[in-house]
Amino acid sequence: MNIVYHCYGGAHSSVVTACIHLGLLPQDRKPSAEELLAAPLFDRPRSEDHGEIQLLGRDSRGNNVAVMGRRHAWPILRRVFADICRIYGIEPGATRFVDASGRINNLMRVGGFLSRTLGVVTLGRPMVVAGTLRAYEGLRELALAVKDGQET
Amino acid sequence: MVKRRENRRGPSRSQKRLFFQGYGGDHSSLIAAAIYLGLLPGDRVPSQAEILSLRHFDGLSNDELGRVLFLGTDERGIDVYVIGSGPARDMVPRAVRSFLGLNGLEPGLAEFVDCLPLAGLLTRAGGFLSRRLGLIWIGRNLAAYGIRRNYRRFVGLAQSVRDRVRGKP
Repeated sequence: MNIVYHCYGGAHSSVVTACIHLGLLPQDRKPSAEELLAAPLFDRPRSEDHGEIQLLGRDSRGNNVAVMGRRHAWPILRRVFADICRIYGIEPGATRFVDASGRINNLMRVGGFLSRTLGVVTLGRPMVVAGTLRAYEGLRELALAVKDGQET
Repeated sequence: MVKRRENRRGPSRSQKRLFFQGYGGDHSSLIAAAIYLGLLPGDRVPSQAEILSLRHFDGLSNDELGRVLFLGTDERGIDVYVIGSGPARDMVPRAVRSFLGLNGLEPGLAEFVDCLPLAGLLTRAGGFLSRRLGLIWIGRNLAAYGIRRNYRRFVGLAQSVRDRVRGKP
């Protein structure tokens, strides 16, 4: 099965949730800022990467875990994926899309906008790191629920 | 004669598809795809009535953005679709190709044609009046008029897609 975490930019909440799911970030405690910054893709993708489903790894159950940035266009992309499944004969149930943006805060929004959209990394990155650490517990709960196959 | 049935032998995981992409999926992308398939003439500018009577023309609402509509099968057996991507225009090709890859299909099986640059001011304004404001008669006619004024460029795009598809089977 494929599990695709998505959020506005595919650079923060989706990446962190996917990394917790895969054990690339801690599942039992908050990480340090250094650990967060070392996580693959964290605060990396930019607008020209939006829409791209990027595979991060395979979990202990053999699921592919991936992330995607989708701006505010999830209703559009959801219809596209449903029709693409029908057209190419792909099993729609083989991919689970999980919105990871429900538990974020304004520090992440503003920091992410500064770092990714405006490119002011020196200012935006510390903000988004602080915001992500503050949101970590919620993202951790989401990741572990999805990992254990629960509805979210 | 354009064949009207999609996936005649069932959905194939190895066959290429062609997607004409526009904002709403019912103006510029539909016209370019219709010319490509021979549903509209390639050697003259069609009448206002011919455009207005084209199936789906100015017929999709905003909450249908992202719907992928089957329009026909070309002479090489490639199924042709139109997509209204709305503000997700740059994301949709990446999303579709990477989704195919994620599911073990060849990403190159989806080929996209960006038609929005062909929608001139009149077509955009007409689409907005009709689809957003509900001024259907005036908006629809304005959009069709804009397309007719720009028609040669649509024929040129359809021809370039034909060359591209012939070049790499």
